[in-house]
Amino acid sequence: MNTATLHSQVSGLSQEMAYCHHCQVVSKVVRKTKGYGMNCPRCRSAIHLRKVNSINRTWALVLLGFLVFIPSHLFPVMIITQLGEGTYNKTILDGVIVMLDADLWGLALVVFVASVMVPLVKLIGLAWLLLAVRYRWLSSRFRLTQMYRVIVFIGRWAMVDIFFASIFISVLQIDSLISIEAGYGATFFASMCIITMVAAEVFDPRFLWDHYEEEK
Amino acid sequence: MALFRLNKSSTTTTHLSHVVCEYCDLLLDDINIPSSHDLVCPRCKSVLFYNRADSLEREYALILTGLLLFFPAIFLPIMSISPFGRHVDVSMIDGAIIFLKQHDPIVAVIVFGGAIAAPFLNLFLLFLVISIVYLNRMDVVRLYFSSSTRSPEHIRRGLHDYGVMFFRWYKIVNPWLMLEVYLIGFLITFSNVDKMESTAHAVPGLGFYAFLGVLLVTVLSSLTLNSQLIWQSLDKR
Repeated sequence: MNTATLHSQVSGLSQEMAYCHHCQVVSKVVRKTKGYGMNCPRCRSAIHLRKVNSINRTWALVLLGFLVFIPSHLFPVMIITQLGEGTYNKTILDGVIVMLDADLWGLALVVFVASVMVPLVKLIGLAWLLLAVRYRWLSSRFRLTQMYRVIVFIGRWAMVDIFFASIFISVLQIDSLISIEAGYGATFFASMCIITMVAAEVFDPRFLWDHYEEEK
Repeated sequence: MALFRLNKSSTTTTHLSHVVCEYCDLLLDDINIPSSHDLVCPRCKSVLFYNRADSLEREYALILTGLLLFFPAIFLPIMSISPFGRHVDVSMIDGAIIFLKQHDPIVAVIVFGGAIAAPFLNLFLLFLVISIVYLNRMDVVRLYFSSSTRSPEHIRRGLHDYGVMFFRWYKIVNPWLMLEVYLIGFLITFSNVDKMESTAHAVPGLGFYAFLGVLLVTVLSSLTLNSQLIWQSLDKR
C-alpha cells in the first residue's frame, strides 16, 4: 500500500480506499476477478466500498415496513377478558385513548409518539433518503446526513410499546378477574420495529456524498 | 473546516494513519489528535474519534459492576403488586416467558433479545476483549505458559484472534441494545398499573434498582469506550 499517493480530504471511493465497519481499519480495496469485495486485514470481515446492494435492500425493507405497519395498528395488541364483562380487543391506538380517558396525558403522548410517529418518521425518512440518492436531490447533503443519524438514533424507541405490553401482561396474569393475552398486533408491531432497524442499518449514507467533488 | 473539537475530559494524544468517515466517505490521513480534543469530520461533522481519559481502566471497572448487577436485575422482581391482599412479584425474565406461554415466540424472542440477551452479550463480550488486552499487555502468557508444550507465541496469537473475534461480535450486538427503551416501557406500565383499582398499588422491586444500575453502567461504558485504542492494542502482537 503506497500511502504517498493518497489525497486527504477527498472521498475514499475515488481512491478505492474502504473503511471496515467492524474495526475501523482503512485499506485499499483490491478487486478480485469475481465480485468486488475483499476481507479486512485486521478482523477478516468483508470490506466493500459501499454496502452491498444497499439501495435495493433498503427499498425492499422500507416497503415491507410500510406493509407490516398497517396490520400492526389494525390487529389488537392485547385481548382483555374481564370477568362478567366480556372480551375487549385493544389495538395500540385504543390503548392511547384509554390512557387519555384516565387523564394520563404524558403517557398517552409517549405511547403515541413511540408507536405511530417514530415508525412513520423512520419509514418516510428512509424513503426520502433513497429518492434523494436516486434523483440527486442532494443540495443539502449535510441535512440529509443529519437526518440519517436521527433515523438510526430513534430506531429503537418504537420498542417501548412491546416492552410495555410484556410487563403489563405479565403483571396482570396474576389478577383472577382479568386475563390478558397478546394479540397478532404485537407480533406485527415487533416485527416492524426490527424490519425498520435493519433497513436503517442496511442503508449506506455515503451514497449521499458520492458526487460531491465533481459538483463543487 | 475544523478538524478538532474541544473535549476537556481527555489527556492523551493519539496518532491515526488513516480515517474514513463512515457517514460521508471523506478520507483523512496522518492525523495527530492533540490532547483534550475529539476528531470531527470536516465535511459532515460526525465525530470520528472520541478522546477519553483512562478509557480501558474505567471501562473494565464499569463492566465488572454491570456483570455483578446483571443477574439480580433479571431474576429479582422489578415490580411487586398486591391484588386483594395477595403479594405478587414480576421479574424481567417473566416478561419474555409470558409471550412464550401465549404461543407468540416472535415477540418472546424480540423481548428477550433486546432487553436481556443483547445487554448481557454487550457487557460480557467487552469483558472478554478487555481481559485479553490486559493479558497481552502484562505478558502473562510469556510469564506463566513458557513451560507448556505449545509455544508461548502460539498461545499469544490464539488469544489475539479470540480478542478480534469477540470485538467483532460486540460491534454486531451493539445496535440491538434496548435497555433505555425498556426503562420507559417499565415506567409507562408502572403508572398504568398504579392507577388500576384492582391491583392495589405497585411498588418497584429490588430488581428494578439493579436494572437501573445495569442501564447506567451500560450507557457510561459506551461513552468511555475507545474502540480505536482497543484495536490498536490488539494489533500489537
